[in-house]
Order: sequence, then C-alpha cells, then structure tokens
Amino acid sequence: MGWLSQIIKRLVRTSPQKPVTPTGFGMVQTRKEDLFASLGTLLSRYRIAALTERKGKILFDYINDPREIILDYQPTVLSPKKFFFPQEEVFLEYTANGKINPKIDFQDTILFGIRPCDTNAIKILDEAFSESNGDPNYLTKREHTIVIAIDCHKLCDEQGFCYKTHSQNVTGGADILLFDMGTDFAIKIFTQKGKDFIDEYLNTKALDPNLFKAYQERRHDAFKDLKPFPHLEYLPEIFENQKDHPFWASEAKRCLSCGSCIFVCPTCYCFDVADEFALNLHEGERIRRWDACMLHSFAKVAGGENFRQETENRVRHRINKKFNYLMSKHGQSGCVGCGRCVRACLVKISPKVIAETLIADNNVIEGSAPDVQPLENHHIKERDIRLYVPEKATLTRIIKMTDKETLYEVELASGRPLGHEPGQFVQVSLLGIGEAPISISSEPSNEPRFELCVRAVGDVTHKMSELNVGDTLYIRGPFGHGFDADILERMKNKHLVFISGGLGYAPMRSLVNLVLQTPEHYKKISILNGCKTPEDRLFKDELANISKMGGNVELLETVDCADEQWTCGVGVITTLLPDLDMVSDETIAIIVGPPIMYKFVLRSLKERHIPPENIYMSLERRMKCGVGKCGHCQIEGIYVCQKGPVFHYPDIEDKEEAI
Amino acid sequence: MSKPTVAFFDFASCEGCQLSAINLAPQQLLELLEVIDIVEFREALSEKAYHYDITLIEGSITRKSDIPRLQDIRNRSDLVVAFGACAHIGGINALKNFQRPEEYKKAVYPDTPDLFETDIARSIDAFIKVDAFIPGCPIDTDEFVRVVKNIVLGKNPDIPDYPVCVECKQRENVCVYELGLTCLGPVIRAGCGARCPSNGGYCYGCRGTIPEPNIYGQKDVMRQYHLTHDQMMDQFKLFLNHNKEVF
Amino acid sequence: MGRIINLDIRHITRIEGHGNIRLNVRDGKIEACHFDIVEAPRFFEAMIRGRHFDEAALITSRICGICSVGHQLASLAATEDAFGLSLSTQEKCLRRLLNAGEYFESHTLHIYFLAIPDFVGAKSVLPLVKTHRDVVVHALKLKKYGHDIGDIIGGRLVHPMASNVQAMTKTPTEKELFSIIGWMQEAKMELMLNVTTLANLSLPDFNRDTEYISLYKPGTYALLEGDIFSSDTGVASYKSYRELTQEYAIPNSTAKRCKHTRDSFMVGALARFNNNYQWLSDNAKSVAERLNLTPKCTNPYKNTLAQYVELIHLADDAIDAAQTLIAMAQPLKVEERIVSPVAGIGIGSIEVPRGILYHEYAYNEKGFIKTANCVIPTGQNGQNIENDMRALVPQIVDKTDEEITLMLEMLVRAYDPCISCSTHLLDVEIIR
Ligand code: SF4
Ligand code: SF4
Ligand code: SF4
Ligand code: FES
Repeated sequence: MGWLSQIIKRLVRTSPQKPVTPTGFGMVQTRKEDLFASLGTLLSRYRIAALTERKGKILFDYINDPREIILDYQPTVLSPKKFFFPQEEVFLEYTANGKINPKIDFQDTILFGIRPCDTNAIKILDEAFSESNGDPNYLTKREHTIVIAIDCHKLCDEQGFCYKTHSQNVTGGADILLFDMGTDFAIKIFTQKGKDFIDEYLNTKALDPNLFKAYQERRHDAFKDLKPFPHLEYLPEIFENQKDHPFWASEAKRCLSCGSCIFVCPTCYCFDVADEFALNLHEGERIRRWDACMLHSFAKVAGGENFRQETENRVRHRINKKFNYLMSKHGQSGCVGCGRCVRACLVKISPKVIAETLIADNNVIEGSAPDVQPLENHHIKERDIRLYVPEKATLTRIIKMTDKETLYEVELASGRPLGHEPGQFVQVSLLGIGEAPISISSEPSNEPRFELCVRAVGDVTHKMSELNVGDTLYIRGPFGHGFDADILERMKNKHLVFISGGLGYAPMRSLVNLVLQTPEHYKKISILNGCKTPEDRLFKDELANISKMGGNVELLETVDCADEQWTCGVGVITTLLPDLDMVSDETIAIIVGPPIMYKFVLRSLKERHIPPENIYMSLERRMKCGVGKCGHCQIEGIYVCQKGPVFHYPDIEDKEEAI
Repeated sequence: MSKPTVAFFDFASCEGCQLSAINLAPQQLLELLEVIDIVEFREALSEKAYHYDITLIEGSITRKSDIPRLQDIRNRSDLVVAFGACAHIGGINALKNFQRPEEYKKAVYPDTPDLFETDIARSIDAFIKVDAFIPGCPIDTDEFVRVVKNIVLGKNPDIPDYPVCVECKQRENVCVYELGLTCLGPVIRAGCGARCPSNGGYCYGCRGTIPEPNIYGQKDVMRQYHLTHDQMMDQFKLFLNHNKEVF
Repeated sequence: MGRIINLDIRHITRIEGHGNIRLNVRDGKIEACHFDIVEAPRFFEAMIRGRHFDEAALITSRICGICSVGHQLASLAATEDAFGLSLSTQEKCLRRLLNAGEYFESHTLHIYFLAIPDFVGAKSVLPLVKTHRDVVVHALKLKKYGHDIGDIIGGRLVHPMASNVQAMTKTPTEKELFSIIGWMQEAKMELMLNVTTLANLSLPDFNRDTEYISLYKPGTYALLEGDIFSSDTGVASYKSYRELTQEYAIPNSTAKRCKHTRDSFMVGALARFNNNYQWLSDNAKSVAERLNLTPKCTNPYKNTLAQYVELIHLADDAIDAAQTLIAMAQPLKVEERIVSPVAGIGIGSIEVPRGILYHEYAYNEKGFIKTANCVIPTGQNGQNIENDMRALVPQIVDKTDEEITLMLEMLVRAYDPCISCSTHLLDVEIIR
C-alpha cells in the first residue's frame, strides 16, 4: 500500500487548549547578588546543582560555591534528569541469606538554572514515574529537590527547537522561575514548595512592572519569528498515519543505533536492571541503568525473539513515542525541542526534520477538541517504597516436564495466597542472579501455593533449574492485566476455543483449569494445542485427562513432527481450525503462543468469521520491571506489563508492533 | 560450592591482559582467590595442573606449531574464554595480515626472512571452540572480575552488546568528533567505560564491533568529518581485521 | 665424575613471555648451554610501516603489556627527535609520573611475585598469601599505586591513551596530584620499613664482571632522556645506539646476538645502578646501603635489589614531579599540540624497567613511517644471560639437577626478562 494514498484521513480536532499557567503565587523580584548570597549560605543545608564548567565542558553538576554557576546558558550533553534518575542507581541491597532493603540515595537538593525545555521534560518524567505505580527512587529525589528554572529570552543555538512544540514556555516542572533582567531576577512562583523556599531564604521586593515588560518584549522579539510546527496538535494523527513513510527507512539506513539520542534526551526514561554480587558472593545489589530503545537488543527477550529487530522499527518507535504516543495522551509533545539528540547524533537524525517531513506530506482537516489529559499541576503520586522489593518464597515441588521445561510449585513465606487472575505473571528473583517475568500456570486459588512452568533460557531460569525443593526464591507480583472478572463473565455460555502453541500452554493452563472446574457454565470448551514433537508437550498427563473428560470438552492436538505412537494431528496449529465446529458470534477464542503463531491463527479465525471482539490473546514482550517503569515491554506506547499481557484483540488490532 | 580451577595461557600477545587481570586492590585480589583457584598462570606462578574448569587464553595464533598446544589446552578445559583482543579478534597482531608475508618478514629480518615460522594472525576461535570472551586491548579489570564472578555464579558472562557511545554519553563526554578527532565508538562494543574518549583519546576499536554494526553509517560519518578513504581504512585496520564487511 | 646433566627447561615460569633453558654437561664439561626465546615473532617493525606518526606509540605500545609505557615513551621520543620537537616542563613531569607508575607496577611484580618465591622455597606467590600475607598485601598495594598513577596520568597503565606526540591529551587535577604524592610517600615508607625482607634473602654468591650499559645524563638518574653510557667505554651519543647493540651471528647457529666491546653486556636496573649510582636520591642510597649494595656490583642476582632501590628513587622523583606540577597554574591545561612532520630519522632511547630500549623511525615528509627498528632490553641481555650461565654451571655442577635448574631459573628471572617484547628476536636458537 502506497503511503501517499493512506495519509489523507479525516482528523477531527480543534486547536488545543492553551496551557493554563498556575497563578495565585504571583511574582516578585530579587537582586542577583542577594540570590547568590542566599545560595551560598544554603550550601550547608542543600546540595546545589547548577550549570557549571568541569574540565572544559559545560554541564549541570553539584557546585561548591555559587561563583561556579554559569548564567549564560549553553546546551549541555546530558539533561538535568540525571539528578532524579541517574545513569546508574542501586535500588535494592541484599545479602545472600535474604535481607533485602530498598535503597534510595537522596539528599535535599536545589536544582538551579534549568531551562524551559527541561522543565517541560520534568513534567513528562513526573508523569512517567508516577503513573500506575509510584517509582520510589525518582519520586523521593524529586520531592527533596527545589527546582529553580531560568527563563530563556532567546534561542540557545541553531539546534534548539523548543519553539516548535511551545516548550520555551514554562508551565510547570519547576517550583520557581527566574527571569534575567540584568542586575535583578523577576521571580514567578509555581508551587507552595517554591513559595515557602522564597519566603524563608530570599530577600525579595515587589516586581518592577516596567523592567519586566522590557524583558518580555525582548523575549518576544527573539521568538516572534520562531513558529511552532504547523498542525502541532495533530502530530499524533500525522505520525499514526505515516508509519510507512519512506523517510523512516532512509533515516534508519544512516542511523548507527548508538543510542546517544536517548541518553541525552530529557524525556527518555527507560532502564535496564542487573543484579550484582560483591566478590565475596554474599552482599549484592540490584542496579538500574539507563537503557535506550535505539539499541539493537532493547526489545529482545531471553528466548531470542527481538521485537524491534530492524533499525527502522526502532527509529520509528523512538520518534512516535515523543510525537504520537505521549502526545496523544497528554496533549504535550514528548519532545521538548532541547536539541540535545541532534547535537549528539553523528548522522544528525533530527526529530524536528522528521516531524517537518511528515507534516509536509500529510493532509489535515481540522475538527473538534482533542481528548487529552493535560500534565498541568500533575499530582505526584504516592511513592511505593516496596515497589521493587520482592518477597520470600519457597519451592515446594519440582516436576520436570520436558527436556527444557520444568514446573515449580512455589509458596509465599508469608502464607498469603498470591491472589492472581489467570494470565497474570510474577517476577521471580534469585539474589545475585537477577529477576525474570514468569507467567503463572496454576488457576487462581486461596492457597498460598501457585505454579510456574519455566523454560530455561536466561540466567534466572537456568539457575532455577538447579534448585531443589525447599530452596528459596523471591517473588514480586502478581502483575499485569489477566483474564479479569469482566472477561470471565463474557465467556459464560460461550464456546471457548483455546489455541496454544509451544510454551503457550503454560499461561493458558491457568485459565483452562479454571473453566474446567465448571464446564457446565460454557457452551463448549475446545482446547487446541500444538507442539514441535509429542515429547515437547507440556502437562501430558493433564492433557490426557482432559481428552477423557468428554461432555462439552474437547482436546485437539497437533505436532510438527510425529513419532510412531502419536495418534493426533500432524502440522501447524492452524490445521486444527478449519474442521472445528464453531458458531462465529457464539465463540470466544483465546490465543497464547510463540510470536509467529498469532498472525496465522488470526487469519484462520478471520476466515471462520470470528469477530475481533471475540478474540483475546496474551502477548510476550521483554519485561524488566513489571510495573510500567522500565519501558522495555512497550508496544507502540502501550505497556504490556500494565495493559497486558492479556489483550482484547480490538485494542491492539491496528498496532503494527503487536502481532 | 567448591572453587573452580582457573588457568591462564598466552600465545602471541603482549601479556598486558594477564597483567590487567591482577591489577586489583589487595582486598579484591584476596577475595578473588577465595572464589577461584588459580592453578596455572605461567607469567606469575610455577604451579601446573592437568584439568581446568575455566581457562583464559590470551594471544592470537600466528604459527601452525602453536595449534597443537592450543588444542591440548582446549581438551583439558571445561570452559575456554578468549581473553583480550588478540585471542578474541586477532588483536594488533592481525595488522600484519594486511601485508604480504614476504614483505613483513623481509622488513624485520632482511637477511634471514625465513628464520621464523609465521602465518597470518588469527583469533583462537578459528581453531578451537570458545565459550566466552573478554574483549579489549587490554581487558578491563572490572569486566574481568565481573565475568569470572558471573561464570562462577552460572550466569551469562554479560559482555555489553551496545556501542562505546553509550558509556561515553553516560559520562557526559564531549564527543571527540567535536574536538577534531575521529572515533569508532558508534560501532565498537562497550564495556571499557568509553575509556579512550574519556581520557583524551578516541576509540580505535580494540573491543571489536557490536553484533550488528552499521559500517555504512560509520563510514558516512567519517567521510563527513573529512577522512579520506585511506585514513578511514587505516583506522579500521588496527583492530577490525576479522570484520570482512569493513574492507 | 662421569655425570651427564641434560636439562631442558621449557617455558620458564614467572617471566614475561616464553623462554627455554637447555644445558648439556658431560664429565663436567659444558657441551651446550642455551637460553632460547620461543615466543612467536610479531613483526611490529613491519606493521607500523606506513602508519601515521600519531599511531606509532599506540601500536608499539602493544609490543609489551608490562612495559607498554616505556615503549610509548620511546616511540614518542623517536618521533619528537625526528620532527625536532622539544617538551615543556609540564609534559616532562607528566612523563616522569607515568614512567614511575610503570616502574612501580613492573618492579613490584618482579621482586615480589616472580623473584621472592624462590628464596622462601615457594612455587609462587599464592602460598605466600597464607604464610606471608602482610608481604603480599604490601606488594599488591605498591603495584596498585603504579596502576592508579597510570590511570590518572595516562588513562590506564597498560597501553595508555593520553600519551601523544609532544603533549599528553589529558591532565591530572590538583587533587589527583596530591593523591599521587600521598601514595608515593606511603610507598616509600613501606619500602623502607620492609627493607629487611629483601636484605634477608640469601642471594647466590656469584659474580661475573661484564659491560654495563645504560642511559646517562649527568645530574640525573637518567631514565627518560640522555646519552648512552658504557662502563667499558664511557659516554656515547644516543644516535650511535646501533654501535652499542651490534648484531652478530654465532657459528653453527642461525641466531643473532648483541654485543658491544665484549661479546655480551648487561642492561637493566643493575646496569643503571652501577653507572648512575651517584644520582640516586638520598633515600634510595640509604636503602642501597642497608641492602649492602654498592657499585660496581657484578652479581646478576642482585638486579632484584637494584630494582628495589630504584623504587625508592622513583617515589622521590614522582613526588618531585607532582610538586612541580602543583606549583603551576591550576587546573593544568591540556597543551596544544602543533606537530609538523619532517622527513628524516628519529631515535628514542628510554630506560624501561628491564633496561635501555631504543626505537628508531624513518619518516616521510607527510609524517608516515617508512621503516622502523626497535631494540629491546631482553634482546640485549640474551647473550649475557648465557654467559652468566656458562660461568655459573661449573661452580654448581655438583648440585642435583633440581638445584641446578632452580639456580639457572633464578638467574634468568633475576634479569626480569621480558620476552613478549619479541619485536625482533636478537638471540634465538630455533628449537627443532
Ligand atoms: S544518536 Fe543518531 S545515530 Fe545514534 S541512535 Fe540516535 S538517531 Fe541513531
Ligand atoms: S567520542 Fe566516540 S564514543 Fe564518544 S560519543 Fe563520540 S563517537 Fe561515540
Ligand atoms: S574506547 Fe575503544 S579503543 Fe578504547 S578501550 Fe574502549 S573499545 Fe578499546
Ligand atoms: S515497563 Fe518495565 S516491564 Fe513493562
């Protein structure tokens, strides 16, 4: 399909809501010397980070003397996000015998002199680190920091393009904003925290309106010819429409996949997690480090599948995240135009150029108001200090299923039932080794025990295979969206068709066993299972029992390569579908399997006229945190660990990255 | 857990990697010795053993007569680690592979060019199965400790597969291209902490390329920074002899 | 006597690189006595042909991991000599510090890890971890200081990246310089406290006079610049290094040896000590006294003691260099490098831990290397080691094979030979 033919899509929007500036705190004025004198005395109470010079480079760093502060802004390599979300951070400390403590390294801090683009970026980070679960490390540091921003009265350099997304205007993300009026600063207070700070530590006087007006005029002149992107508010649609634009491929060819753009970006927040034992193999730490979706293996799972194998997919994801996924949610562009990535990129791939190219090639027809939740006065969520702390559990049973897979029965030391929905997963930790997401194979129950069926593919799962009954492991969860009460309700009196391939039966079993407790609630239950060889089948005995259940329960199996004893089908899973007796709108299909299976199964279901609304599936992605923070599991901006792994097909039908 | 036995061997190399391996603070080295049992290390010890759990081999293979010794070591080892650039990717020794043997032999031994046996320099995985590698010229001491620790714990060695730029950016360096130098960082495997760009140098690729380097893009960048074809190739030749796609 | 001794010691341990000793004695007469290098040749001199002057040090550094700094400094000196460049005080101080780092790492390794175990009857330093833990910790600390100085000055000690023609591309901060001073002071103290460890070693009483060759610059314990001094013939210009390292063939062998006036000479710590004793720091001299080491010393086993004395001197020298740098305007600036290549020949001669090292390059007018020649200390010492062995064997021929083996190995080790530097094997006998 030509990209030109599909870009003319009717868009219904009006111009966006103008950002509302919080008032109520008003404005004052102070002499620069007074401010620096205050900062000088505050150095004993606060750590002060500001723009300064170190070994010939300009950067934000902790200072020892206010005289080190540079007021004339020069763009820095890294953004101030490093103070809240450092390059590398220990967030758990533990001992081999199971003392686990969360760790947050914070101190009362003043972050002085960040610029408007970076304040807008902080708004985005605040949201990212507090939505759905409050990240304890980020939020604690954030809470203990007073952000004092300085307004820009001119563009920093030719790479900066804040004006393209209105990001030269501070609308939050700072407690105090300063306007440089020569010998004095005008001060605008944004938050109560800022107000308290000023009241306590700063000599202020009333604002001189003429001086301030002169400042504003100067600023206005500097920015008046710098126009935002045309159709700024439609960027999400424009990007959505142009996922096949040839520019993606040509930019990808040049891209080195070096990740520099991500590390320097003030709004990128993905991270990787690693466990490290000290050399004594007794004390250990769990560390998070900046990660970048532009790097080749960012979306690669332990099993080997890489969900963004091609550079083109990564470039597209990165830029869409900024102008599409984030912006469609909040109405504010996820790119604040600080220009850092362009400066850092050796081949000068630029979000600005990409946006301009895509905008120029699009036809937009404006319509009604956008449906967005503005980030203004975003309320920082309660942080959850135990978000990353796993709880102790014991292995109570180990059953070898096949060469590669083993079933583990786990009991939480606290004796509490796990309380999971079918389809959810837990994060299994082995101290010093790492953490891995594992889907739960057993049906929901009130017992403190649950089952995990694991294939040994990574560090944690390999190490699990060396454990014995009675050994300790650590659990976080259950996480994710499973087959919740609504879905279960919908399934009542329907013909349920379970379609699983390979390891897919492991998570599927949780739901299968649940519905098999009351088969009479369903019209019919068909379980379709495919494997490479008969040997590879999981839960062989259970399947044998199911096949003998009779009534409205049927089991259909197929393998790729049969042996002599094999009596069921041979061939891929879809060979089982054509002969299946289904009434299209009475049937609900549930799919779990290896990534390549979905496409074919969906096609077959379509041929059998099963409507998308009647299809559920569980998707696998690389997961690190499990709580919507690390960014690894994203499918076009959707966090699989939050909205999935169980998805209603219509929700992801149009997501190219999903299937 | 009984301590795994560890041995060090070297072929054509400068032995700088073995040296870097013991560049540890006293406490660290003593702790390391609690975790592993070094049973053979000709450079520093006289002990010998027959079988090794982990064998670290430094150096590239530049003559046929070394192959039997290499194979013998392999046969007596559970796990072989290519230790340093020479063993991993041929290292600096492979620079001579760009010249004809008659030429380089004559240049060094004009009267007796055939006095010494020599062949093209190759990484050890050209001759034996290699289970893991620790890259670098020389290896990074912290990485060495981490890999040994990981192997002892039964984890993957965990060698980064992202490029040097990642670590360079995290250190907030000014890119050396801006300083008028050229750098292979975008296509070279990180793990050294971007040591060269961070210390007044530039990356010349001692750790080998990342799994899918964009050589086309890298050359494009170097051209943009006014390198001639020959200058560009000279940079690649230093450590990337085994990357056939580059030349 | 009728005894036949037939020793074939392959891959001598605890030395840098691979060397063998072969000895055949029949009826008290030496039939064969050889010290052979079996390291694979690596052709550095060929590899750097056609390379740009900025890469010469980077490449030749890889000749040897343990004296990579030395190779770099010799390489830089050769290039600077060819282009007629002189160094600023700042640069000279930085190089002195980097060099001190290397000596600390190299000498410490040799003294404590390679040499001492023989004297306490241990196979290596490992058993000493249990029996002499303090000494091991002390040695590791000294070695670590060397590495840490290398990190600060050169970016790392093994193959530094900051050392460049004319000027380092990295400068230490004042704080870092102060920590170097602190480490060196501590090192000095520890070394002085531990002198007894060395003084108590019972070194074989074996003396054989030979020609001692080292760098020479009146007024300094010459390590990084100067002319060449021979204990036999006196001062010679560094430009005449080829005369002091004449290659010659041995009859019935394809190997080449190196000689000057006699048929062998010695380079290294002992040669430097003998030639330049008067310019050692006072602390170093007093330690030499406590070790009973006076010039001219002709016992090659005492090379290890000379190294110990040098450590004290180097600590003093490093402190002086660091203080000079601190006295300059802080923070130190990276000096601008303006290098215009000149066609011609340059020679760099540097004292590396194992002795005098020469690099010689011929440049074309664009600054690309046409030809190169590197003469390494171990190559120069080869014949001397063999001559020592020949002189020693008759004195010990009554001992057991094991004892003879140990004494010969100890002798080879005392020279701290660095065979991995086999750019150019001067003294090789092919093992067939
Ligand atoms: S900085 Fe440029 S080359 Fe590197 S990943 Fe980003 S877009 Fe690609
Ligand atoms: S200096 Fe090299 S490693 Fe660092 S960002 Fe630039 S290209 Fe990448
Ligand atoms: S920066 Fe490049 S050349 Fe330097 S150590 Fe790292 S990989 Fe090797
Ligand atoms: S965001 Fe970390 S796993 Fe989903």
